[in-house]
Amino acid sequence: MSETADLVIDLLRSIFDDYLTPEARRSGSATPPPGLWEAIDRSGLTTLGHPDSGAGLEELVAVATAVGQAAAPVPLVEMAGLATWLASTGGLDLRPGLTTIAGLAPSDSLRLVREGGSWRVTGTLRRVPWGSQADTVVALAVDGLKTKIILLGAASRVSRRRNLAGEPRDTLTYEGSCVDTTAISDVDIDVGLVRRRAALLRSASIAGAIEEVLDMTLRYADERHQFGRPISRFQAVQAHLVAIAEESACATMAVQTAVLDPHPERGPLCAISKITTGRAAQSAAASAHQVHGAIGTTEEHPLQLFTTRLWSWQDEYGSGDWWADRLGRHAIAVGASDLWPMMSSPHMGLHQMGT
Amino acid sequence: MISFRPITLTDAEEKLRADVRAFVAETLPPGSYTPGLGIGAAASPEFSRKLGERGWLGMVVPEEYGGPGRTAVDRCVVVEELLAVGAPVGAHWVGDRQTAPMLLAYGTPEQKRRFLPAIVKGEVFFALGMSEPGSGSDLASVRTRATSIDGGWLLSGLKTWTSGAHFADHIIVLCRTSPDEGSRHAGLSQLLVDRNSDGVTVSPIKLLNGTHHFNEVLFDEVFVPDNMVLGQIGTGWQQVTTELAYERSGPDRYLSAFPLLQQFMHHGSELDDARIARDLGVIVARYWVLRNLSLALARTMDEGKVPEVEAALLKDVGTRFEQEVVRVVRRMFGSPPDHDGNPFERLLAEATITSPTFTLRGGTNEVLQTVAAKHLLRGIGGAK
Repeated sequence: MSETADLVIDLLRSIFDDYLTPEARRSGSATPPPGLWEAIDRSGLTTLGHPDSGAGLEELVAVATAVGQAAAPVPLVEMAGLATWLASTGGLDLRPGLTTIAGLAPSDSLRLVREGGSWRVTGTLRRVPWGSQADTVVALAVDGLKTKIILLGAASRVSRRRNLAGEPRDTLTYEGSCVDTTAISDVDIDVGLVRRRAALLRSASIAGAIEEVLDMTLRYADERHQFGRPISRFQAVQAHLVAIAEESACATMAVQTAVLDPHPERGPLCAISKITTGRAAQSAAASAHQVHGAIGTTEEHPLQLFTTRLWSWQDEYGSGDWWADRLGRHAIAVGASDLWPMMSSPHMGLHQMGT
Repeated sequence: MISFRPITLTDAEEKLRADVRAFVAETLPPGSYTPGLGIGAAASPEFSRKLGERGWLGMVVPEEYGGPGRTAVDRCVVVEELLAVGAPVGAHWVGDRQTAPMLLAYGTPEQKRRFLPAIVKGEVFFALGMSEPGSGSDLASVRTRATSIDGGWLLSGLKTWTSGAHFADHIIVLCRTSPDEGSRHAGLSQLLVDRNSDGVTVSPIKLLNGTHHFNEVLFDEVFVPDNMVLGQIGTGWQQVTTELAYERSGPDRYLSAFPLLQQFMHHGSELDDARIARDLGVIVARYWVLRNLSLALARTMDEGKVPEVEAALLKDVGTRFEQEVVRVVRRMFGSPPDHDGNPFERLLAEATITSPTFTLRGGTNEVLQTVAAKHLLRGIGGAK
């Protein structure tokens, strides 16, 4: 990791250590524990996606990984990695406050229409991370044939929803809400680019969570004694431990190769990350629960903080299957003779994938 | 704990890849040979010699012994290009992958001088005499014995599953040279046996589809001179286990079925994108990841480390993936393969029939998982 990434991670981890205590977690994932978000914000980490911060994708992937490792109930990845980055890409200035991202999903339909002398936005945004609590939503809206980056305030209607981990994923409906021209970017944006970046960051969080799950499960198997010995002695249990370790290695490697690539968001490496972490999430969650036995299925046990996130995150910003379909079509387009050259090329990311 | 650091290949390594790819395109144009599946591919002494001429065999052998003095990553790059097209690597495989590093680690100066340059040139071939009818996963239980006589050893026993013994020049035989006092791993040794010695009988073992890779080898009081002991008498077990990381992490542990996938893709316009895209995407993603894991390991080994848990994990996940590729290609193809049909269908038939061997050869996955688990648990401080 770069020095900057190391510093960022150390800072973030020390904040997690201070504020993400077992007591703090008892309040659930709907709102960050008291003090946690303020501490993150004060540290400047929430705006890490702004070019002035000096941080790049590598640092944001490291942040996303750390969020996953800590199962931290904060919209840091969304705000820093996506919303701040997207706003600055569009040349839009953000107000202070909680900022989230929306409008990436194929099913999202936000229309920007000029009515009289003003711009109005209509449509529904689903599964918006912390949408109901956000001061600003950085959204993608369609203006005719173009996709635009816009900044939104309060929605006409809000419906609070959660993912399986209890993280807020709210539905925001806009019914002709007014949008100031200063809140609309005139930069053309490729929605595929944003989706690929989001998929990569979500993959990093999954990989981080799986690393922690591996550690927890190894320790549990080592400490839990049955039949007069640690359950880690049983080969059937060892098979599960090995399965988690393999998936963890694959998940982390996929994300790290994307970080190494000069332009991952252009190409298949984001798809590979999401496909790999999707598969890893399923396998790791299943094996971890099997090893932990009944105690691992309780609300009180920390395992569910991670497995509910794995089950949720595997479907966010495109499921593994969704991305696999796209990568497969890309491979067909590349053709049989160039299949191995593509897979062994120094920068697979250079092969531009369709949206 | 487990550590796979992704690598970027250097310009020199990329150039090597380009050179091998060009050589393969010229020497093995499509249609001129039958692609094989990994190390089960055909044996072609001629092809092996051509590789040797270009310095692509025994790549880790230092210049002092006539070798190119290159790295494990270099070897990985070369082998990837060969396996991706199912090249006939069968003849030189054992010598290149296993025997050369073993000789470097344990050989006498005389053995090194005699064998290493020949391995590099692709002129001498080896087989491994390890498994026996009663000793598979439990290799320490081998009963082939060598008794000391004047000037050497008399070797007697029966080895099985010996790949390539029918064309090998020498067989490296794991045998018991003294009783296992205390530890069952003690008293084992490795002998370099000339296949043409009196008392050596090689008999073929046919696979499910009639192909001949494996053999039974009977040793009936075969004389092996003292100067053909590999390493020390009594340290055979340690010798065998240290090479396992090298043996387990190469491209052959995940790339064997790739020619099958590529042949399937050549069906071109017959491919129904909607039906096969997802399956194909899953496969491509996995290849990318496993390839990077494999290269990461090779780089680690070049740095002098022995990544035991990583190698075991990679072989376990890689070989099961090879079997998955065969199943997925079958599903994408959607029809029973014609054994006597076009090259793709023949290859699919062969892949289906030989796929059980992927997770058996070089150590069963069950054993690998035990090895990996032991190391993983050790890594958390709860030593086992």
